[in-house]
Amino acid sequence: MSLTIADPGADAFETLAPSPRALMRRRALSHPGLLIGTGFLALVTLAAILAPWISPHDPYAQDLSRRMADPIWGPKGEWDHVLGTDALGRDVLSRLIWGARLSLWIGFTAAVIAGLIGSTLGVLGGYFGGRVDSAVVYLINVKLALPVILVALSVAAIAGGSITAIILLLGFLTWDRYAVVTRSLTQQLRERDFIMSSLACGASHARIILRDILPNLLNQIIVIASLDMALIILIEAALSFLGLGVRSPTPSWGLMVSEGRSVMFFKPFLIMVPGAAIFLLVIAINMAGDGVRDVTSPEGRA
Amino acid sequence: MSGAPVLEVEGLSVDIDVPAGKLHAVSDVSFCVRPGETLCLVGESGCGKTMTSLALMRLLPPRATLTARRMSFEGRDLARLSERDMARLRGDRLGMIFQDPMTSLNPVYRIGDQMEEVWLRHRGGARAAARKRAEFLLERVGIINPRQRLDQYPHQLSGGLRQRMMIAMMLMCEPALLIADEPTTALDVTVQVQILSLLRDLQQEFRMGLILITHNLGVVARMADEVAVMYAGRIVEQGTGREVFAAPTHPYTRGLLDCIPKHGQSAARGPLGSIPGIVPSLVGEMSGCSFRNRCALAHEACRRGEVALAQAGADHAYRCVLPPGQARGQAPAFAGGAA
Amino acid sequence: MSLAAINAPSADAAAESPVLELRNLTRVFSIGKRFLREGKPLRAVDGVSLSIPRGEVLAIVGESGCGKTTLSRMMLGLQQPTSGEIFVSGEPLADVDRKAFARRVQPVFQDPYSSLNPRKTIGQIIADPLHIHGVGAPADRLAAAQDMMERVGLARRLVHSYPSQLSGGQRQRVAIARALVMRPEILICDEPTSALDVSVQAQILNLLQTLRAELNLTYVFITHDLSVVEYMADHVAVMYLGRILETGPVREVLHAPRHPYTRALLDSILTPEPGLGLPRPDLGRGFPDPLDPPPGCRFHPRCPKAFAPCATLPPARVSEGDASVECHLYD
Repeated sequence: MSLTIADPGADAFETLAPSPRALMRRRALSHPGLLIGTGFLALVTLAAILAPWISPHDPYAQDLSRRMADPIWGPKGEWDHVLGTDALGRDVLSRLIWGARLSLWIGFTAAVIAGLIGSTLGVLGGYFGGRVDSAVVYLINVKLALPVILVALSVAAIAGGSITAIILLLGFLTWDRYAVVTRSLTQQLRERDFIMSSLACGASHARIILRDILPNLLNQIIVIASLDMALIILIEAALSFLGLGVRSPTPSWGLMVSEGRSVMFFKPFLIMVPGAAIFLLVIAINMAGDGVRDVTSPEGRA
Repeated sequence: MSGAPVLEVEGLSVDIDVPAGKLHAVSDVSFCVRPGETLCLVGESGCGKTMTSLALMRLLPPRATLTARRMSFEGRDLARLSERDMARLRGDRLGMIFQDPMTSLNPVYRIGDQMEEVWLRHRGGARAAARKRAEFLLERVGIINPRQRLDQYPHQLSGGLRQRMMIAMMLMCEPALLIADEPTTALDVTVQVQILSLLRDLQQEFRMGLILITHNLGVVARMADEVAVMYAGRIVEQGTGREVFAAPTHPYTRGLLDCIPKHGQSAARGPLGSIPGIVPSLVGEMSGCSFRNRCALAHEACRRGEVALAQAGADHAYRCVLPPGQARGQAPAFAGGAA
Repeated sequence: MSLAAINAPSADAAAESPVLELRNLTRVFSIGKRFLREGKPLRAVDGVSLSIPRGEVLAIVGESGCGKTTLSRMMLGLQQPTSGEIFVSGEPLADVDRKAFARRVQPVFQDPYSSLNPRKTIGQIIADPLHIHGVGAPADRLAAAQDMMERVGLARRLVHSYPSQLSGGQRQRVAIARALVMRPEILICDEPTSALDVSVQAQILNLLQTLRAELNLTYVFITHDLSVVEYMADHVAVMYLGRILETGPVREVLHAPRHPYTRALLDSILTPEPGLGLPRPDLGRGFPDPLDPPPGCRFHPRCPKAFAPCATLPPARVSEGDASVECHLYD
C-alpha cells in the first residue's frame, strides 16, 4: 500500500466522535421532560399490565352498602377504598387501574393502525411522486375534510360500543398526520445521494423504502405516534363519556367521568379522579413525545 | 495603501461553551486593516476564520464569549460598544456579505425595498433619494436594467447577480470596512473572477478596508495585500501577500500549497502533496504547537509551551519553533510539488 | 455467486470497443408541466457523443446548469435518455440488465454528508451492494467490506461506526469503498472533492489515482475545477448548455484551447501564484435562460470573438484526430 492512501495520522490522533446512540443516550439523560413523561407513562403502563394482581378490589364488584364512600382525604375516608367508591359501591382505584389498561390498549393499537395506514401512504406518495402522490394527496385532503368528532359519534352510535370497533374507528380517523409528515420527509430523503447510490447499485424500490427510507423516518413516526395516542385517548374518553364508546360496566376513564356526572356537586372526587388521570396521562405522553423529538432530531439532521 | 488602520484587532479570542468544556474557536488573533487594503483570512473548515468575522460584527452565537485586548474600529472599541450602537454600525460603516446571499435577504420583499431600507435606517431622508442611490449602485456593480431589477424579488436573480446585488446593498452607506465570508464559493469559476474583480475595483473606488475570508489559496494569492493563515483557531502565518506566497514558511501553509494541483502537474508525475491527520479537538486547554500531530518536522520542542510568532521577513511572521530556513525545508513550497 | 467471480469482463469485445460510449445522447425535460398542459422543453443534454477507452480518465467540465449532472445520471442508468444510446463495452445499455449494469458502473457523489445513510454503520454501507446482488455469504461480506476499507485508507475498526462519527474525507473514502466493493469497471465521480477541504481533496485525488492503477478502473470525472482536470484526466470534454463545445486530450485542450469558452474557463483558474493579480476573462455577463437558449452558437452572447454567423447558424463539429470543437472560428 502506498504512502498516499494509507492515512495513519488520521487514526493515530483521532478520538472517534461518540456514536449516534451514545449521543442520544446522553441527551436523553439530561432532558427532564422526557424523563418525567416516560417515567409517568412507564408507571401507568406497569400498573395497567399488572392490574389483575395489584388492583385492591374487583372493579366490577358492587357493594351497595358502601356507595359513594369518601376517598382517603375525605371526612370518612378508609384505607380499604383509597380513592373511595362510586354510586354502585365499586372501588374507584381498582376501576382506575383497569381503566388505564383499556385506555392504553385502545390508544396504542389505534395509533399503530393509524401509523401503518398513514406512513404507508405518506412514504409511497413521497417516494414515487407523480400520480401515486396525487392519489395520496387526494386521500389526505378527503381525510382532512372529515369532521372527526362527528364521524366518530355517528359511527360509534351505529356500530355500537365494541372495543374492536372503537380501535378500528379511531385508527382510521387519525392517520392523516403520519401521512403528511412522512410524505414530506420522504420527498426530502429521496433527493439525498444515498438513495441515488442504492438505485445505482440496482436496489429495488421495496428495498430502498424498507432499508434506506424507513429507518430514517422512525424517530419522527414515534413522535407523531405519541401525539396521536394522546389524541386517541382523549377521543375515546369523550366517546365513552357521551355513552357511545365503551359500555358500562367496563371500567373506562371517560365512562367513569360520565357516571360521576350526576353526583358531581355532592361527590366531586368521582369526576376529579378519572379526569385528573386522563389529564396526567395525556400530558405525560406529550412530554415523552416532545422529549423523543428533542433527543433524536439533532442527529436526524446529520 | 496607507493611512491609519480602519480596524485594529489585538488578542481576539472566542470561546464557546460546549457540553465537554470550553471550545477555543479563536485564540489570540491580531491583525489590522487599512483603508483600500485587503486582508485575507485563509484556512480550512473549523480553523476559526468565520468565528473571527462574526466576532468583529458581534454576531456570535449565544454560547460564545468574546475577549480582546483591543478591537478598535475607526477609533471605537467594538468589544465594548452597546448592542444598540453596534446595530447602528452594522450595514452602515461595517458591512458584511456571505457565501449565500439568500440567507441575508428577505425573500418576501423586493430588492429595491431592501436596499432603500438600509439607507433609510441609517441615514433617514426621503425614499426617492434612497431609490436613486440604489439604482446608481446596482448599475455600478454591473447589473443591467437596474430600474427593473429593483422591482424584482431575490429569488428571481441568478447566484452571481444576487451576490452583485448584495454587494450593492452593502455599499449603500459607504462602509469603511467590508467583511466578505466566502463570497464566491458558491459561484461558477467565471463568475467568481468577475465578482472578485468587482470587489477589488469598488474597494479602490470607495477606499474601503476589505476582510476576505476564504479557503481558496488561489483567491488569496490574487486578492490579498495582507494574509493571515489560520489553523485550529490561531494565526500560524501572517504577512504581506507577496512575502507569504513567495516564501511560505509555516509547515501548514506549505502543506496547503502542496495540496493544490499546479499548472502542468499531472498524476503521472507523482502524487499531490497532502497533510495527513486531522485538526485536533479545540476543547480544553492544550499546550505546544497545535499542528504538531500532522507536521513532518515535529519534534520534542513542539510539545512544550505556547509557540510565539517569529519573524520570517520584514512584514512576515510565522508560528513555529524552527528558524525560517529549517521550517521551509530545502526547496520553497511553490516550486516544489511538480518540478 | 462467489466474491471472486463477480467481475471477469468478457475479454472478447472489451479489448477493442471503448468501455463506455455515448452516441448522440439527448435528454429533454418538460418544465412547468401541469394537468392537460404541455411544459416547456428544456434540453438539459443535447446530442452528446463521447467515448472512453478502458483505463482512461475522462473529465467533463462545465459550470452549473450545463447538464453535467443529467449526463452523469444517464451514464449511471438512473435516468433514461430521450434519444441516443449508451454502450457499455460495445453492448447497448438497453440490452444490459439493470443489476448487471450496476456491477459495471458505480457513482461517487459530491457531498459525502448526503451520500451515506446516517442510520447504517460503515460496514453495512460498504457491504450493501453485496447484499443487493446476493454476492458471497453474509460473513464474507463484512470481511470484504473491511478489506475494501483498508484499500481506501480507512481503519478496519471503523466498521461499526456511523457516518456522523467520521470526517468529510473519511466519509468520501467510505463512499469510494462502497462504489468499489463490487469491483466495477467504471466510476462516475460527480465533483467528488468540491465539498472537501484542500488538504483532504489532495488525499482523495491521490487515492483515486492509486486505485485506478491498482484496479484498472476507468473514470468519468465531472468537475468545474480545471486544475483538478489537469491533474486527474487524460481526456476532457467542455460542456455548455447541454452541448460539448470542445473535447480532446487534456494536454492539448488545456495548453492550446480552441474554443473561446474553454479559453475563458482556463483564464478563470486562480492558481496560488503571488503577484499575478486577477485575470479578466473577456466574457459577457448574461447567463442565458436554458429554457430559451440563444439561436446559432449557444455561447455567442458571452463570446468575445463572436461574429456574424454565430448568432444564426449552429456551428458544426470539427474533428481533428482525438480532438473536436464546435465553433465557427474553425469551420
